[in-house]
Formats: sequence, structure tokens, C-alpha cells
Amino acid sequence: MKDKIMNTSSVLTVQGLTKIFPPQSKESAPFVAVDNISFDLKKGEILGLLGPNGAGKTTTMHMLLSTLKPTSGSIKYFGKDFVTHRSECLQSVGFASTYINFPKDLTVEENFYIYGTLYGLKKALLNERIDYFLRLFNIEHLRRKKVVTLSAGQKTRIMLGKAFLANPQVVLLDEPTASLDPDVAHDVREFVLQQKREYETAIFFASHNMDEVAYVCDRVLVLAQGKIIACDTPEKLASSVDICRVHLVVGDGLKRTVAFALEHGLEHAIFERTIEIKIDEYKIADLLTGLAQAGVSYSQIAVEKPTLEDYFIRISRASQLENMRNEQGA
Amino acid sequence: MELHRIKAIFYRLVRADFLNAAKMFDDIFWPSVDILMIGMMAVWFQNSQPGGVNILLILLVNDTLWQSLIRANHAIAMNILAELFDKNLVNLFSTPLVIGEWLVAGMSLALLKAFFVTLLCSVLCLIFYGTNIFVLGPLLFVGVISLFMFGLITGLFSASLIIYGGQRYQSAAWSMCWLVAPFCAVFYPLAILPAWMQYIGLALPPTYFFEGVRTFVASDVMPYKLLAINFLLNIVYLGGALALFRSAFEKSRDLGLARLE
Repeated sequence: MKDKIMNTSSVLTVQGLTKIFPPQSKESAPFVAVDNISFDLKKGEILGLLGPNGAGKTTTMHMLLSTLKPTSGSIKYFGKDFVTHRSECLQSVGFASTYINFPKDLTVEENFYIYGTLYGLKKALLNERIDYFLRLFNIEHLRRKKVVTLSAGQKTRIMLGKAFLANPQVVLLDEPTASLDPDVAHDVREFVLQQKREYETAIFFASHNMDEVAYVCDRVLVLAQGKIIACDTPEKLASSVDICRVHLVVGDGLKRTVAFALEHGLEHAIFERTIEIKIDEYKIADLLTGLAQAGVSYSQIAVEKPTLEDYFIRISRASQLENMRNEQGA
Repeated sequence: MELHRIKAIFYRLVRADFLNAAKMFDDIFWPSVDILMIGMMAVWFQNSQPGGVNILLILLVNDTLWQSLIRANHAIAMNILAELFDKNLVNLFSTPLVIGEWLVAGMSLALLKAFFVTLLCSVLCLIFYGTNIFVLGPLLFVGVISLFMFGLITGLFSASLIIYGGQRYQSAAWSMCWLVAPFCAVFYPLAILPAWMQYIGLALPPTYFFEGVRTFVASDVMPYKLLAINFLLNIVYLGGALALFRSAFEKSRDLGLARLE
């Protein structure tokens, strides 16, 4: 699990980062993809990046890699300005994404050789690192296979190997487990945590998988409409949602329970004799009292605390609402 | 610029292009077909006017050097396109690599291919037509360099369109050099072109070189003036093409390289 003891020195500092794309037609307005965001990433920390589609996650990631120019703001790696020290900074930054690829006609070993050489690894060390990753991911048999013949899971492991090949201080991961089988995704998560533990690698981790973010990240940065709306630990973000799920196995009075929920405007779902009611945490006592007064009897009760997913759903809905308002306003 | 990064990209390009069987087939097949067809046509011309200028030699030399231009063009334009097809552009430019290093590696491959195709065509000329194009001496070497430079220019123009506009401009990669071909006096003298085409031809560096070859074969006099104009124009155009490519790359970064893949 997560290692809570971290070195507090920042390896990445972002200040007032903004990206405005020009209008796509004469009628449309410029699009603010990222709006004045500031954050930092500490040595040995895994910082999650969360947000609904179009929130600005990928835009942020690409600005941190210099493949997209910011409109304004500053990015500093290891205290050095990224614009003026781009190559020097990227020398210690690795990157992996599900959405990019390797030259397909080259073998796994050749691709590792090219990327290792780009980072300036000498041949002996490079061979050592290639052997290490092939062994670690249990893919030594793929060494001379062309990338075009690999499965999605195999490519992801190669991509992760590339990201960590030069033993970088910072690694940016863009949905590294998207479209992977659960067992491979599990291996990837464990690998990321291992790299953090062993080398104090700072990792910026964008994902749509809430359980994964909650599992690996020390802090989570939440983006919506290009703005940071929260930055906290996964536990604290989840606890900011008041809504709990109360599961009751009803013995007698299921119809009365439904009537009670409808009367009080409570979202609910029924599975055979079990009813799930979503309710504010502080109103649970009122709910149970009300049901008792209505003569409802139940054999089991379980209260499910809010998760990061509940938090994400809340901000996504709020974001959609905001979008609709903006569109109506326009 | 760091040598190890140029070496990495050069290895990537050589391995995926020059040492790739399918691509190598292109580098051998098309120049061979061209030399065969142009050579046959030249033999026919030569036989139609016995005792005249050595048209066979002129056409074989010019065609050989035109092939070196095409290969140099492809080494730049087709390989930037290959990075897009492979979805490897973001991968590459999220490393310490700078665009100048990619270009130096691409230009090195272009030079390698220009010399390779010249050697290939010279052997074919000897085998099929008993013509030794090396009788041109240093002029042939100068020609390879000159046409390699112009291949870089057309390659960089195409690459600029592709790096800014994406795959929808892919046809520029192989058509840009043919766009200028009719004006460059590769297979016929500039004088036979209509006046408006001659003006365009005079603005293009290869025209001076190909005219120079005709002068040299006809009179055995080294066309220093034509070569000087050729190189001067090449340098100016190459400077412009490099500036254009750099500007297209930076403008593309404004919108994000990821959108191209």
C-alpha cells in the first residue's frame, strides 16, 4: 500500500498554468482548456489527476511534456524553468500513455535501445536496464518480437519499461491501465508503487479508475472545466461527500420503505428483499426512526461510506450541469 | 545538440527505413525501373541523331541524380509521416530530443540514400547501356550533393505541411518533388520550355545543375558559373526550408503534437 512518509522537496512546480485554444470557427469563442492551475509534486509522491472528460487532464499532461505550449504560466522541474531548460529537465522525466505507441516495425529490444540512447544511457547500463525490465515484467521471450505483434497488455508493459528505463526522478503516466485485463492492471499498479518505494520516484498519475487512484495515489488533484476544484488525499475527497448508501434487508414492509423513500425524496434501488437508500450521513438516524414508526422490520443493515467514485460522480454531474448552463447562455 | 540523441534517431530511421525490406524494395525498384525506361528512350534519341551530343550520357546522369533527389526528399518527408503513422511523435518529443537533432539524423539518412541510389544507378547504367557515368568526374559528386540539398528542401516543405496539418497532407511527401520536376530541365533543356515555365525554372536550383551537365557533356568545359548559382540558390532555399519547418513545428506545438496522431 501507499507509503505515507515522503520527502517534502518539490520536483515539479506548476504556477498559473493556462492553455487557451484559438476558436475553431468565426462563430466560436476561444476554448479555455486549462485555467490558471497551480500545484506541486514532491519527491516520492504519487499525485493523481482526476476529472471528467474534457476537464483538461490530457492538456495538462502534454504541457508538462512540452508537446503542447502553454498560453501562460510556468512549469519548473527541479527548480529549473521548463521553457529554457527543456532537454535538461526531460532528461529526468519519463512518460507512458496508453494512447501512444512505438515504431511498430522495430523489435522490443530495438525500441528500448532507441529510447535508452535518447536518454544518454551507455550501452552496458542500457543492456542491464533492458534485461531488468524484461525480467521484471516476465516478457523476456518478447525481446526480439516486433511491436506490431504484441498485445495491448504487452505493449503497456513495454511502455512502462520505457518510462522508467533511465531511472527518472519524475514519471508522468496517462491512464496506464486503460484497456488492460485486471491481472495485468494489478501488476502495473504494484510496479508503480514499487518504483516509488525503491527509488522515491515522483509520479503524476492520470486515470479514470477510481479504485486505482484511491489505491496508489497519496494526493489527488481534481480538475473540472480546466480548473482545480480540489486537491487532497483520496480519503478526504471521498469523505467530502455526505451521501452514504444504507442497505436494508427488509423482512416486512418493503412497500412502506419505498413509500417512505419517495415521500422524503431519497434515491433508492431494490434488489429482491434488499433496498439501497442514498442518504446524508447525519440523516441515517432519522431514517431508521421513521422506518420503525412505519412498522418496517429488517433483518440486516449495512452502511456504505462514500468512495472516491461517489465524489467523482458528484463533480462530473456538477460539471455537466455547468456545461449545459454555459451552452444555454451562449 | 547531443550526438547520442542524433545517433538514437539515426538508428531508428536506418532500421525502420534503410534496413527495412519493404522500404529497401522501393529504394531499389523505382530507380531501376526509371533508369531502364529513360535509358531506352535515350538510346532511341541517340540512334535518331547519330554523331550528335551524347544524349544517352546526359539523360542517364540527370536521371540518376534526380533519383538521388527523390530519395533525399523521401528520407525527410516520409519519415516524419512514419512517426505520425506509428503514433510515435509524442513519444519522441517527450524525451530530451530536440527537433534539430531529429533533422540532423534525417539529413544523414538522406545523404546515405542519395549516395546509395547514385551507386545503384551507376551500376545499372554500366550493365544495361555500357555507360560509365563516372566519366563526369567531380561533377557527379557535386551533383549528388546539390540534388541531395534540393531533396532536403522539397522534403522539408512537405514535412512542414505534415507536421502542421497532419496526415491529410501525406501526399505532399511523395508529390512535392514531382511538382517542380517539369520546370527543372531534368530530361530536356530549359530553352524548350514556354517562357513562363522558363521563369519558374530559373528560380529553381536543380535547373542550373542539369543545364551544367548538358554544357559539360557538349563542350567538356566545367560550368562553374551555373554550379555557383545552383549552390547559392540551394543554400538560400535550404535556409528558408529549415526556418519554415522549425516554425511549423513550433506552431504545431501551440496546438499540441498529440492531435496529429
